[in-house]
Amino acid sequence: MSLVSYTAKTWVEGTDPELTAANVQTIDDQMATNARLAGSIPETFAGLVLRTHPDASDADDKLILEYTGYLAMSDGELLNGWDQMTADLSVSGVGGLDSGSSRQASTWYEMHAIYDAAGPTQNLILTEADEWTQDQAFATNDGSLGVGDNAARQRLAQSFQTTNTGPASFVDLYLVTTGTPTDYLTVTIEADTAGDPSGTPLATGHVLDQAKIGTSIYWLRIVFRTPATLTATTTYWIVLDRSGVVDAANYVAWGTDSAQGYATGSMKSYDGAAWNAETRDANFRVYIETTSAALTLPAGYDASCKIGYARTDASQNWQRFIQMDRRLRQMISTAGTSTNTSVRTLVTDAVAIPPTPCIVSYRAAGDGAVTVELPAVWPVPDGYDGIAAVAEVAGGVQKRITAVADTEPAWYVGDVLTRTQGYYVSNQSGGDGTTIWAVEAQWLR
Amino acid sequence: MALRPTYTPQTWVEGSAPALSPANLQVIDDEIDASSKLAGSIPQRFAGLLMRTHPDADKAADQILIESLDYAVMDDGEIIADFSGITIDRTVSGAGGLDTGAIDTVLWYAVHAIYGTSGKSAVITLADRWLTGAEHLVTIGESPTGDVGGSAATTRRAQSFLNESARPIKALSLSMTRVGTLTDGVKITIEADTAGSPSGTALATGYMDPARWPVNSAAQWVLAGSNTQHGATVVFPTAADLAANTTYWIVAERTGAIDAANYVAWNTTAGYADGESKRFDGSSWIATSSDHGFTEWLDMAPELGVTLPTGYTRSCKLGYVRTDGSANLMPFVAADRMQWHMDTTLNIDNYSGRTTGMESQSVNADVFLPPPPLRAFVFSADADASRTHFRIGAGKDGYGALREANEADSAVNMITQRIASTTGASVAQQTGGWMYFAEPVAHVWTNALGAGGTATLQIKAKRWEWFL
Repeated sequence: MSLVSYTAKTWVEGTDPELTAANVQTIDDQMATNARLAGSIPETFAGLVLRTHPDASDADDKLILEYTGYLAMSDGELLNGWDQMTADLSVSGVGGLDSGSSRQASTWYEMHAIYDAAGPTQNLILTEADEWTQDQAFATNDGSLGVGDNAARQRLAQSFQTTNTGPASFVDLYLVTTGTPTDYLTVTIEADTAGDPSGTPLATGHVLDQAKIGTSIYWLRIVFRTPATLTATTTYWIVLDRSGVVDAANYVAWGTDSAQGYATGSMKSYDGAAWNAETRDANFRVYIETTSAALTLPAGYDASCKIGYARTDASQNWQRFIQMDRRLRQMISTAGTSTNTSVRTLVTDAVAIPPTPCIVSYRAAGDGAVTVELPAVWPVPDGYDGIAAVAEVAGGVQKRITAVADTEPAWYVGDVLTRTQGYYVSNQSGGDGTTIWAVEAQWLR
Repeated sequence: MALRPTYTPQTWVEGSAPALSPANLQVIDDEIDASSKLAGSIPQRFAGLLMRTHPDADKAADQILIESLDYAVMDDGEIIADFSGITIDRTVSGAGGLDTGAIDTVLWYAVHAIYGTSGKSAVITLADRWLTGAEHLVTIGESPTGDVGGSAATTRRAQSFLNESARPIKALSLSMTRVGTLTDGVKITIEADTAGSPSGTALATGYMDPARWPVNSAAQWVLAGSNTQHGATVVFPTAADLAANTTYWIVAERTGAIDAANYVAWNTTAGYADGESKRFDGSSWIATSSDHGFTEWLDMAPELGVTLPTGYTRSCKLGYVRTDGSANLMPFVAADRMQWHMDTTLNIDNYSGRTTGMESQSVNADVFLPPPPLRAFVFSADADASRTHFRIGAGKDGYGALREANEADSAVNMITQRIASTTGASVAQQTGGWMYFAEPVAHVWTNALGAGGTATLQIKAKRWEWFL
C-alpha cells in the first residue's frame, strides 16, 4: 500500500462548495489512509526479540515474541503491545499456522504479526516460506567439453526434466577455464523443440565474466532474476553460449560424464547451423522454487507485518534460534563445511540461512595441525571469481588461523551479502584443513 | 520540515448533507495537501533496498541495478512504493543516468531514487567530497620546535598561506605534537591578512584536544628520517568561504595559561613559498624564520546536490558508487545502508612505511570511502611481506591513534593490526575493525619491526554503513 496524493478541489472564495456526498466520502477515506501511514514505512519494525520459547517444555512447538518497540503494519499503522505473544506449530489459525500451511519437517516458516482493526485484536501467525528444492542434479564427472572452443561447439546444451512444477530460480554448473578468455558466458533455459533447444530463452541467468572462472573445475551458481516456471516431466534445455568468437586456446569448459549417466536428458552442441548429439551428459543442478501460498489472513484480520523466519528440524520441531530485529542466530550444532583447497566449494546451507537475501556472518576453525589456514567465504552470485587470490574480490571475506589449537569455531571470518542460501568457501592457504560455519543471518526481505 | 498535525475529518453520514462551510473545506484542502506530502514523515528513509552494480558481467561497468526497494520516503516526506528493477546507466544523461555533466574518474557519486509526474526513476549525482588544498608537509622531529603557549613570547603562532580555490575550508591538519602534559585545548582560527599579519577576526574557529595526542619523545615518537606528516586535524563547525588566490592566516593559541613545561609544538620547517610564520608576544606579531606544517581541507560540496530531470520533483538518496580510472563503476552491493566493496582496488594503496622505527601520515579516506559520516570495517594488507605493526585512526579523533603502542584501542577511534608473517603478502588478513569516520581523514601509523624490507601496506575498507 502506498500513499495516494490527493489533489483537492480548488476553492474559490464566495462560491458554493459544489461537493457531492461521494466526493466528501473520497476525501474522508483518503485522509484516513494518510493518517494511518503517517510516521511509518509499512512492514518495518524496531526493538524486536523473537525466539523459540525459552521454556524447554514449549520450545519444540512455540515461538515467542518477547519484545517489540513497534511494528508498522502493511497498511502503515504503527502498533505496539506485542510483547510475550506466542505462535504454536500445533495450532491452526490465529496464534498458529495459517490455512495454507501445515507442520512439516525441515521447513522454513515466516512469522507475521496480524491485526484486526475492528477488534481491535493483535496476534501472530505462521506461514510456510518459499524455498528452493534441488530438483535435478547430475554430478558424475570424467571430463569436460569446451563452449566455443571449436566451430562444431559454438554452444553447448543439456536437456533435463524436473519432477516439480515451479520457477527454476537458479542452476549450478560445473565449469573450468582453459587459457584466458576475455568474453562473457550466457546461460539460458530454453524449451525443447523437436529434440533441440528452441532458441528462445525462457530465462537468462546473470552473465558470467569468463576471465573470472577458475582453472580448476568447480560448481558455479547462476541465478535467474526472472525465473522461468517449468512444468514437471517436461524437457527443457540449459544452453551455454559465449559472447566472443570461437577460440581453441581460451574458453570455458563444462564438466561432463562420458557414460551418459543422466537418465532424463542428453547433451548437444551447436555448430552454427544445427544441434548435434554429444555422447556424454553435462554436470548440472536445477533448483525449483516451492512457492507456498501467500499468507492467508484469518477472518477479520486486515493487516500484517512479517517479523521473522524460523525452521523446523527433521522431527517437525522448531530449530532453536533467537532473532533480534532481523538478525537471526541459530542455536544448533552443525558440521560446517570443511575445505583444504583453494578451489572454491559451492555450499547450500538451508539450515542456518533463511530462503531470502541475507547478510550472513561466518566463523571458522583450524584442524589443530601446525599449518596456516586461510578460510574464506564469498557470496552468491558474485563469488564465482575463482581466479583472484584476494578474498575481497567479489565481496569475499577471509581469516588467518595460525595457532595449533585453533580447532574451535571461534574465529570470526566476516559477513557477506548472499542469496539462494548459498555461498562459496575455500582454504586460500591450501592448508590441511579448515571448517567454516554460517552462524548468523540478517534477513533483508 | 516537521510533521503537520493529524487532521480528524468530520464523520460522514451516508445520505446526509455535507454541512461543510467554505472555511472548513479550505482546512480540509490544506490538510490533505500537507498530509499527502509529509505522511511518511521522516524524509529520505527507505526499506527493502538491494542495490548493486549490474550482476551481468557485460553491464557491470556501466549500470547499477536496484534489485528491490520496497519504499522510499522522498525528500518532501511522501512515501513512494516499489522502485524495484530500475537501472541507472552512467553513460545516460538525466533520468536513469547521470543527473548532470559528464561522468568523471575516481569520484564518488550518490545514487538517488527520483519521482515526479514522469514516474519513478533513479540517477547518480556527484557526491560531496573534501580535497586537500594548500599544504606544507614537514617532519615532526624528535626535538620539538615552535612552541605555542610555552612562553609569553609565543602566546600565539600563525602561518599564512595562499588559498587557491574559492571554496569553504572545512578543516586543517597541522604538524603538531604535545610537550609535557596538557589539560587545556588549542584554539585554531582562520583569519584574513591585514598588513601582513593576522587580522584578529576569526573567519572560522575550531578546537583541538592535545591531551589525546602523541608525545614528542624518542621513546614514543621516533621520526628520524625524511618522512612527512600532516599531523593533528581540526574541523571547523562552520566552514569559512575563502577567496581564490588570497592570503589567509592559520592562528594557533592555547586556551590555558602560559606554561613552559606543558605546551603544544607546531613544527617549524622552512620551505613554504607562499606564506610566512609569525608569533604573537601579547602585543604584536613578530616574524619568525621558518614555516609551520599544515594542510588545507576544502569542501567541494556546496554546489552539489541532485539535479532533478524534467518531470521529477522529489528524491531520496539510496547509496554511493565510485568510478575507477576509466570512469567505470566500481563493483559494489548494498543492503539498505550497508555497502560492500566488491573489488580490491579501493584502498589507500602501497602506503610506503619505513624499514625501521615508526612513522605516521594523515591521508584522505575519500580514496576508499564515500563521503562521511559513516562507519567502515577497515583492515590492512601487507603487500610486500614485511613484519609490521599497523594502526589507523579515523577522522579528527584518529590522531590519537598515534599515541604510544600500548594505548588501549578503545581509547580512540582506531584499529590496531599486526601483520606478523610473510604470508600476509597481498592477502588481506581481515583482522581489522569498525571505525567511525565523521570526516574523510584517516591517520595512519606504522611500526616496522624486525626483519623485512620497506613496509608496503594497503588500507582497505571492506564495507561501510552510511548515515547521512
